[in-house]
Amino acid sequence: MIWRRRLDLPWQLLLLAASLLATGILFVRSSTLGTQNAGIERRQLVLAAAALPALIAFAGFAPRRLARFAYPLYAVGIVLLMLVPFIGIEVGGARRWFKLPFDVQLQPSEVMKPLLVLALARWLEFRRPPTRLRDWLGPLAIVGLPFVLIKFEPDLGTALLLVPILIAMVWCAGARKLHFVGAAAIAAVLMPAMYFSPILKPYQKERVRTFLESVPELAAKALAARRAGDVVAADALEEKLSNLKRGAGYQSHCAQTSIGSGGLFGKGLGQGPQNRLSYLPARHTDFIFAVVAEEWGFVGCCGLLLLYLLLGLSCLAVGASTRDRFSQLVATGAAAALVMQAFANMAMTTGLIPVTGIPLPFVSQGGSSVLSAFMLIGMVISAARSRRDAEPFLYRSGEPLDPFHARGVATPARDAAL
Amino acid sequence: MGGGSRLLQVGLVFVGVAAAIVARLATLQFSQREFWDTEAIKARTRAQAIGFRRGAIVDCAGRPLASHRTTWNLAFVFAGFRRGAASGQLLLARYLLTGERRDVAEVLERPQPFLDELAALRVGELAAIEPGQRREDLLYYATWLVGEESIKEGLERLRRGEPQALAFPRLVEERAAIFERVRQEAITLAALGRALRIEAAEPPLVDRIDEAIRATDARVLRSLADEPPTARPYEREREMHREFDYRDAKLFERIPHALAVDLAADPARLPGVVVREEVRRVYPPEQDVCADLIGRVGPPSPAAIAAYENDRDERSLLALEPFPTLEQSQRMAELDERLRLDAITPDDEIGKDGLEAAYESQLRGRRGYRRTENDRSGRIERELEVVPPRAGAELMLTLDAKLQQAAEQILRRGVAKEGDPVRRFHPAAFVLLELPSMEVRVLASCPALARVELAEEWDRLVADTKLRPLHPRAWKPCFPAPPGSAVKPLVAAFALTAGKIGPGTLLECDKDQLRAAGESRPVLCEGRHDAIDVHDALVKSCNHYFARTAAACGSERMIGWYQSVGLGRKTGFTSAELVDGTRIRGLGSEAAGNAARENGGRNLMLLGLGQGKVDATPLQMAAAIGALAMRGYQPPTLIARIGEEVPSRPAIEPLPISPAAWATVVEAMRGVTMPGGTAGPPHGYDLTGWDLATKTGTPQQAGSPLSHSWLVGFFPSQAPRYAFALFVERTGMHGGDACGPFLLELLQDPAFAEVSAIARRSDSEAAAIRMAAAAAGIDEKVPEGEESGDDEAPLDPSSSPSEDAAIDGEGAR
Repeated sequence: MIWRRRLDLPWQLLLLAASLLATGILFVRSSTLGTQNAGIERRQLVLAAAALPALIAFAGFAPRRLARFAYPLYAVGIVLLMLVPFIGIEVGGARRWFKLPFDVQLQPSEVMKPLLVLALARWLEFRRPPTRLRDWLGPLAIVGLPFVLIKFEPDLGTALLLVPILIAMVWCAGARKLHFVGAAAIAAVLMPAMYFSPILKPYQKERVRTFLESVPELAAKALAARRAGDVVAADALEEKLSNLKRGAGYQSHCAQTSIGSGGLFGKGLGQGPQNRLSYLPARHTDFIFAVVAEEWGFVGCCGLLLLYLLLGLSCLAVGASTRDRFSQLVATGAAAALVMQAFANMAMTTGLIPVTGIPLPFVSQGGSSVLSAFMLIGMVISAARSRRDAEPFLYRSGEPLDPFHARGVATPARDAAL
Repeated sequence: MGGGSRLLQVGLVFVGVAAAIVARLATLQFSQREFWDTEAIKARTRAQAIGFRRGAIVDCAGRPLASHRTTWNLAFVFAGFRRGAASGQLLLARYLLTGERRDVAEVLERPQPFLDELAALRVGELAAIEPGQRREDLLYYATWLVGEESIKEGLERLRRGEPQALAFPRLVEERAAIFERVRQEAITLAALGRALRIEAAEPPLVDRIDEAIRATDARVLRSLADEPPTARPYEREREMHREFDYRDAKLFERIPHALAVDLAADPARLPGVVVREEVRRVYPPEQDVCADLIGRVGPPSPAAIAAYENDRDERSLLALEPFPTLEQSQRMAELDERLRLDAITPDDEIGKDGLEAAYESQLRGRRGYRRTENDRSGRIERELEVVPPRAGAELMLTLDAKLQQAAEQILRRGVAKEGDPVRRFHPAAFVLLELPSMEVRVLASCPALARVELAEEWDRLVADTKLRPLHPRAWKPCFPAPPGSAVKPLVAAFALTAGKIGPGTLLECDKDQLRAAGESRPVLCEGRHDAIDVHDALVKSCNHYFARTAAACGSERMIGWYQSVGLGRKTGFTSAELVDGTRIRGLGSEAAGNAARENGGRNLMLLGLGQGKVDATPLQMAAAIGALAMRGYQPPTLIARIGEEVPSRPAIEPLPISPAAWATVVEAMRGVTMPGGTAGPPHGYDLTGWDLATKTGTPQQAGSPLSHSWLVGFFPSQAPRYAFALFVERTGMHGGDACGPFLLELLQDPAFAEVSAIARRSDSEAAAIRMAAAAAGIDEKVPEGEESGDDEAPLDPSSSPSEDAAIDGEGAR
């Protein structure tokens, strides 16, 4: 169908990515105007331009070639992560970055995401669908290693983002529903246990605690207690409220204040008082979505959300139209990495999940984030080359279109047919 | 299940998550919009009150009697200093390290040891410091010293660093910059000291800062001493400091305006040293008159402060409401309005007594406020709303401060008795009303207390029950005196009009005493004037004549007449219900309806002499005599204008005095200061140079054998412009003898030149009067015995001193 073929076109991905990048540039400018970071949007453009070769490179590789480089690239990513504790620089108590020339910093955990997608796709490509528990060991090991390395940077937020990539890719590789139900049950048990274990640092526990409290509700409770004459309870609740607003929940409170005050259409670009007057922390990086919400309101937020959703669906559509399993898995992994990171950032900003330091892909200021997003888009463009309706000249002669046919490995579809 | 369908399911998950986020956004941006909007506004806006100016009180010429002054003081806020100034940070870091508070002067002079000690601190040593707030505070001070805000890095180093590693390596890197900051602060303080011209003998600013810090520490220690011991003393101490450190400590009062502007423009130059504007009530010493009438301002009452705090608490509670109802929002707006604009705050000045209290609502202005949008560091980004303050209304009095001061000065000179060259002090009063408006121009009392005296000697003044200096004689004496013979012109005018006597009615004044029918106690009337008409009875102040006239008129009529000229009722001269009234009490059995006794009753006879059951303040007597002059009574007024508004006044009540009666009485009153009159030559003073219509009075009052002295009147006699009443307390002298010299001095005083010029007779006229008197052979002084024996009657033995003014003394001239 014509519409479907059009949706599968890689330029649509580029268009969506460019739109998001442009939105990001606008809001990075808006959130840094009049501050010491003013003009940083130009730097963001430069970084995007610098990351463009990565997109082109990945897009230029044929899927099979990408598949061949998947493990070596994964190994490079792991080595980089392993080097972080030794040669990485420390900012704000965490060691997550390498210092590069021209005052550029590289965050290996960001670069690790596309490399992980490649490695996972490579692993799942020629193997039977993970219908048995032991089939999970390989993928878990592939994800677990970078997870642990990133977790101990410490950067739990980025580490946790590897989980949706794993789930999406393993699901698409044909894993059984029962495994997911079981995993969900185990997670439901483990999460509270994790809260009480020393795995979470005190500040992370504090974030979880504050996440579970709602400022408006707490304010209502404090008021009710004060009215009922229960001074002790009212004092305790107000202290909690104060802690939420100024202590551990400070960032979340500021973000929600910005979002809530945005209303339907927002205050206008560059006009958001909370942004303009610096009441919003990390507003050009992790909390840039709050700036969008304040200045473009509900409508703008939904627009941005729609862009991400379209981007994700486009990636999935590319995956659905490919002829080889590797490309399909890569497209799925890229969609999960991009969209789930964006949604996680939005959920964190709106108070749906605890605050974690994850940027909004394409929009937040930061070179590593853009590089990672470009690599993922490049990988999806590459995957698009194996579409069923793609021109044959795009493929190298002699390269099998479907490795399952070549190797005789059963695919879920094949299993069903058999 | 096919790969495509699994991808679709992943897509559905994306849509589901997106839907959850949209739902959350809708909650925040629609359902909770108001709450977050309020939170945002609260976070970024600050409302700052703008003080109002209390309305001035001015005299009739616009001279300020009570005004305001804006001053700028240099204040020290310890919290600002320790958070913002490098010297403060070093000082506090040292304190946290060693528990020893050093002087700011020492830090400014030699910051090196302070910094070195802190910079040399190792992670292990830092970790060994009492855990909790003390260590965290130290981290903060070290962080602020290098110009950073977050202590995360320091905490991380503390957590992971080697025990031997430096706890604050940045302090070493920033050493030069920190010293430079301290040096700049020292330079700024020195420059400030020079600009304020602090003498070498006075403590320099830095010492004053140290003194302020020591005072704060002492206050904290005192508060801690009252508390039970706690396991974490530093935390408690810190809490106390949070309470006290934000309070201002005055460093220097009244700094030059230019310096205030300069300092206020750059508060970051020396954090903690701030300029505070102060608008305070002042009473210009050059017009320090009627302090007791004008009153004073003071701090609000505990009830007013409690009301303010209740409103504030209620507002705080409502502010916690996440989703206020319409009613709550309205109440919040109402409270906001009141708290911002109208509330009496503990710092306000409130009228405590006198006119300041009586006209509080008009004099008090309305506070304004400025709502600004501030960035996170507190810098004002823009003004959102400015409600300018509204100054209180100016209260213009009819009083003339110049005349008042002159009158007070003259009254202070005292009275000279015959044969005694020394003038002795006596409480006295002089009231001058302008006619026909009845505006009070002078309301002088003696003693007239200066504000300094009131402030510094209050206890002594309260305890002085002999002189009772806190009771201004002019309008609020402790024991109002009977008016005595000063009322006789009124009795004469009414009786003439009522036909009870005629201009030619002669009464035989041939007895030393009059006895009412059925009364055992007589009314003494020692002087004998033989057959006397009303003119002479007034000029010579014949008691016999007026006792019989009163008896003929009856008590009801007499009381009615007195009341019609304002005796026995409040004058309401300030329209503010200041107590100034006197009374006419019931006449006992005479008033009960026994016609025979009423008509000839002793008390009724005394009423005709202005004795017994009637008393009056000088203000009332001036008003009564002014009413006679105008043949109509209008209460006197002291208030010319409140803001732009002229207060309404009661209409003039016409008096039942015929022109003929008025002419007869005025003619007689003119004779009082003429030769042969009770205040005429030869009495050691000569008032013949002025066209005055006067009457003397020498009443007696319970509790004192000494009579009071009155001289009331108006001038010029034929076209009255001013009415006056002069009163001297317990002189034991004839009214004319005590008051006449005062009146002469007043008329001759340069301050009264304009007033007295109205009644001034030409020299030739005066000379003619004197010659006529000489020709009639009345330039001899009235024999002493006759004068004193004529008017002064012994006290009524039946009167109780506790009845204060209720003395049946009789006789006056």
